[in-house]
Amino acid sequence: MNRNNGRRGRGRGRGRGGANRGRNRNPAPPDWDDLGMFRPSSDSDDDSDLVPINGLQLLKALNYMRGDLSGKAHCGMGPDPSDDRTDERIFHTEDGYPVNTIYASFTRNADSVTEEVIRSIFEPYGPVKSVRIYTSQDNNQYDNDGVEEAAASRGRGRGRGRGRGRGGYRRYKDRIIRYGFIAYERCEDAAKCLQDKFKLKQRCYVAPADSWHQEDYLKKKQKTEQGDKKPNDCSDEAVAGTSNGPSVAPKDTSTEADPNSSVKAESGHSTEEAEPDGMNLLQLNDDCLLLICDYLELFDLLALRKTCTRLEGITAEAFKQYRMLDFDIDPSDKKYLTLLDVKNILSEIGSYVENLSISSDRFLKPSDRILKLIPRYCPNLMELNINDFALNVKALNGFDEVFKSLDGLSLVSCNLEDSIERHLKLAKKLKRLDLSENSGITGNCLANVKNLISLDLEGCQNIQGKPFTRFVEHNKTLEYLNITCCGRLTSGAIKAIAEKMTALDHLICNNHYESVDPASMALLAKMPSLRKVQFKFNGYSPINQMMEGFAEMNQLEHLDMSDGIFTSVDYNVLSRLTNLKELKMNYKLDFGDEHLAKLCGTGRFVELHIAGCTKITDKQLIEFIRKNPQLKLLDISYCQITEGLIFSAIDILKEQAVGCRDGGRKLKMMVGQTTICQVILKNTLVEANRHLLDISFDSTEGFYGGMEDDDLYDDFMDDDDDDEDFMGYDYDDEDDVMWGLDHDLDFEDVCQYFYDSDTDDYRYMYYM
Amino acid sequence: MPCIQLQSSDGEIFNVEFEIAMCSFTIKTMMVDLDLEDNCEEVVPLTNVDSNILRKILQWANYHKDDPEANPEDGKPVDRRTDNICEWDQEFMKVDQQTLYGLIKAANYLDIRGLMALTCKTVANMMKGKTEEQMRKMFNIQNDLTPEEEQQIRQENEWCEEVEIVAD
Repeated sequence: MNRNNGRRGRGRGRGRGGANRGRNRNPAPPDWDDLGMFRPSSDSDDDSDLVPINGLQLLKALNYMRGDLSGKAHCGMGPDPSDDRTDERIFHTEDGYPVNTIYASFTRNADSVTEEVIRSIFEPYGPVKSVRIYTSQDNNQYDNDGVEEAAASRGRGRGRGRGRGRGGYRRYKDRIIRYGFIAYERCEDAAKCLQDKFKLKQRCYVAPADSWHQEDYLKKKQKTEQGDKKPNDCSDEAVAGTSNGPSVAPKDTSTEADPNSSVKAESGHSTEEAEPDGMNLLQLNDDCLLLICDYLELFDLLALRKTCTRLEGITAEAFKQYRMLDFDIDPSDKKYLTLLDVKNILSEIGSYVENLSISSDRFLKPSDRILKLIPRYCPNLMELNINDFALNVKALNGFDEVFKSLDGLSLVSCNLEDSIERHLKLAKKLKRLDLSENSGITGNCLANVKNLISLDLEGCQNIQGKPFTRFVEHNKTLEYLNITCCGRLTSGAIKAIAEKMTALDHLICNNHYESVDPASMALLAKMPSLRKVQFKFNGYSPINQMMEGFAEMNQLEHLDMSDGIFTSVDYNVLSRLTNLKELKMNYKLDFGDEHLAKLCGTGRFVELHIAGCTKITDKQLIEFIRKNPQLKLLDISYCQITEGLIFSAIDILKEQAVGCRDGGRKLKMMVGQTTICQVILKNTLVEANRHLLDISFDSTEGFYGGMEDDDLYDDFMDDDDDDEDFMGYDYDDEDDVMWGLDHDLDFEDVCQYFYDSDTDDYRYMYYM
Repeated sequence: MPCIQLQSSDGEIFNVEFEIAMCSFTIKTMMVDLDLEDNCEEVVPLTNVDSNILRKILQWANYHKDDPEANPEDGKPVDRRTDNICEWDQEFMKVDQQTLYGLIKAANYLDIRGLMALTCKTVANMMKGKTEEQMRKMFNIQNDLTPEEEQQIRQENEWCEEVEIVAD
C-alpha cells in the first residue's frame, strides 16, 4: 500500500515540478535492497529504527544516495570487509551522526517517573552522562466532540511553540506523559539499550534521539558557530553581551554602523585608503552583498548568516525572497533532505515563508514529524502544499492556527479521510483547495468549506453525489473545478454544478461518469461563464450533445479533448466555436485535413495541439499557419509531416513579419518524434529565422481513452507488482492495440502525461 | 572609431572606444544626459575606480563588447546557477580577493550588469559548501555574534517528539 502511494505521489510530484523538470531533481532512488538493512518507511515504522546498522555501512549508503558514486562499489556487495575492524555496532541518525542520546517516553504512571527512575532503567546498559526530563500532555488524542474545546486545550497546552506544557500541565482529557533524553557516555551503550527496545516497552518507548540531540552534532555546531574565538573569549563576550546589553558594541560594529546607506558605503573611499590591509568582503555595500546572496543556495545562506552581525542582517534581507519555499526545488544542491535539514531551514527562515511546498519524495525518511515543523516555525503561511505524506488526524495536530490563515491548500495524495473536515472547517479564508489523489474522501469533508474559488478533486474516486451537491450550494463562487476521475458523481451533482456555479470559468472533467446521463453532462456546456474546458478520456459515450451545447453558447476559448480515441466527435461542430483560441485535439486519429480546413476560418487561434493526429498533412498545416496570424504554439509531434513544412512556415512568418511593428510573432513548433530531426537547426535559413520560428523537439505523449475509470487506476496506479515489472511494462500485452499507435510509449512518460495534462491548465489558471 | 577619455582615481587617463565604454550604464546615462555623444573632448573622471581596476574592467568589456545588451530592468539573476561562467571569464576571475572586491565595487558604481553578475557569482562560488567557520577564515570576518546556544538548546528540547509516543 505504501509503495503504491509512493509511486503515485512521485508521478504527481514530477508533474507539479513543471518548468523545473529539466533540472532532474528526482534521480532514481537507490535500490534499497542493496543498502543492507536501511530502508525508508513512509510512516514512522518502529522496526526500521531497531536494526543496528554498522556505521560505515550506513555512511556508505548515505553517500550513495547523495550521489557519491565512489561508494557504489561496496553497495550490493554486502558488508564492507573493513567492517571487521569496528567490532561494536552503533546507531546513526539519518544525518549520519552517531547516536549517544536516546529518547524515551513514559505514558503509564508518568507522574512517578523521576530522574532516579530513569537512571535505574538505563544505567544497566552503561554509564549515563546526563538525563533531561520533560512533561507534556499527550495531545495526540483527537477530540471528536468539540472542536472548540479541543482547539482551546491544544492552544493552552502547546502555546504555539514556546512554554508548552512544561511543568504547568493540565489534566484536561489528555494523559500526562513524561519524556526524556538520556545521553550515554558511549554510543555503543546507547545501541545496546536501543536493541532492548521490546523489553523496555513494558516501561517506556525508546528511540534514537534526533540529530540535534546528539553530542557529535552539538560539538560540530558549536565549533563552526564559534569558530576562531577561543572558548574563554566567547564566554567573556557572552557575559558582556548579556549583562551590558547593546551599550557595549563589539569593535566590528563601528565600521558597519551605517549598513543601510549604500551611498555612504560606496563613497567610503577614504576608509579604503586608511586600511592598507585592503578590502574585506564586508566593505562592499549592501546591494553588492545582496547580489552575491542571490547566487547562494539555502544552506550557504544559513552558514553565511552565522558568520557575523553584518552578514546576518544581509541574509535576513535575502531570505525575504523565500516567501515561496518549495522543498522540491530548494535547496537544489542536495538530492535528499532529512528532518534536520528541514528544521535548520525552517527555524531560520520559516517566518518569511508564506507559500510552502513539501513533498515526500525529497526525503529519505518521510515522516509526519517533518510536517510538525511547519506549524512550529511558519506562522505566516498563506499557502501550503503537501504532497504524498500520509496525513492521519494525528499528523495534523498543531496545524489549527496554520489552517486558520491559509488561503491556498493542497494535500495531494495524502491518504486523507473525511476526518480532514475538522481542519477544513477552521480554514475560513480558504480560496483554493486541492485534494487530488485522495480516494478515501467521500466529499463529507467539504461540508464546511465555503466560497472557494478553486477546487481540485482529481482522482478522488469516492466523492459521492450528495455531499458534492451540498458543496456546490455553498460554493457558487467557484471559478476552477477539476473533477477528473470522480467516477461516482451523480447526475444530480453534475446538474447542480451546471445550475449553481455561475462563475465557473475553467472545468476539467476528464474520464466519463458512469452514473451521469448524457443530458445532464450536456448541461455543463450551458454554464454562463465557462471559457476553458478539458474533457478527455471520455470513453465510448457519445458527447455530441455536449458539443452541440458548446457550439450553441459559443463562448469557449480553450478546449482540450485530446485522447479518447474511441469517442466519435463531430468535428464540424468545432467550426462553430468561433471564439476558440486554444484547441487540443491530440491523438484524434480520425481528425483530418478536411476538419482542420474548417477551423481555418476564424483566424483567432493562438495554440493548436494535434500531436499524433496522423491524418493531417503539411498542406493543410501551412494554410492553418497562414490563416492564423496570432498562432504562437503548434504541437505536431508524432504527426506525419516533412521538412517542407518548416520552410513554408518560415516563408509565411517572414511574409507576415513585414510591416509588423514588433518584428512579427514568434511561433513555437513542437516537432518531436517526427521525420524532422535536429539537423535542421543547422540549416542556415532556419538559423537565420530563429526569432520567428522556434523549433522544439519535445513531444506530447498520448493516453488512450475508452477504458473504465477504475481500470485506469487498477492498471497503472495500483500496479502492486515489483518494480522490475513496472519498468519493463509488457508492451505486447493485449492492451497494446488500445494505444492505437505503433510507436513505443515509455510507460513513465505516459503517466507523466496523464498528470501533466491537468497541471498545465492549473498553472494556466493561476499564473497567467 | 569615436573614443571617450576616462580618468581613474589615481589620475591615469584611458582612451576608450565609445562602444566599449557603453557597457557601463552609468557612463551611458551620463553621455545621454549631458549630450556628449558627439563631443568626446572632455575627460570623464571616475573617482571611485583606480587604474588597476579600470584596466581590468576595460579588458573585460573589450572581450564582451559583442554580447547581447542586458536589459536595464532585469538586474536580478534569473536563477541561482553559478556554474555557467565561460572559460575566458573563469580565467579573468583568477585574481586576489582585493581585486575581486574592487571589481565588484566598480562594476556596481559603473553599473555594468554582466561584470556584476560574474563577480558576484565568483564570490558565491567561493562561499558554496562552506561552514560558517570556513567562510570566516576565507573572508577574514570577525565573529561578533553573541552566542545563544544555551537558549537554543532549551528550545530544541521543548519540541516533544510526540509522534513517537506509543499509545498502549
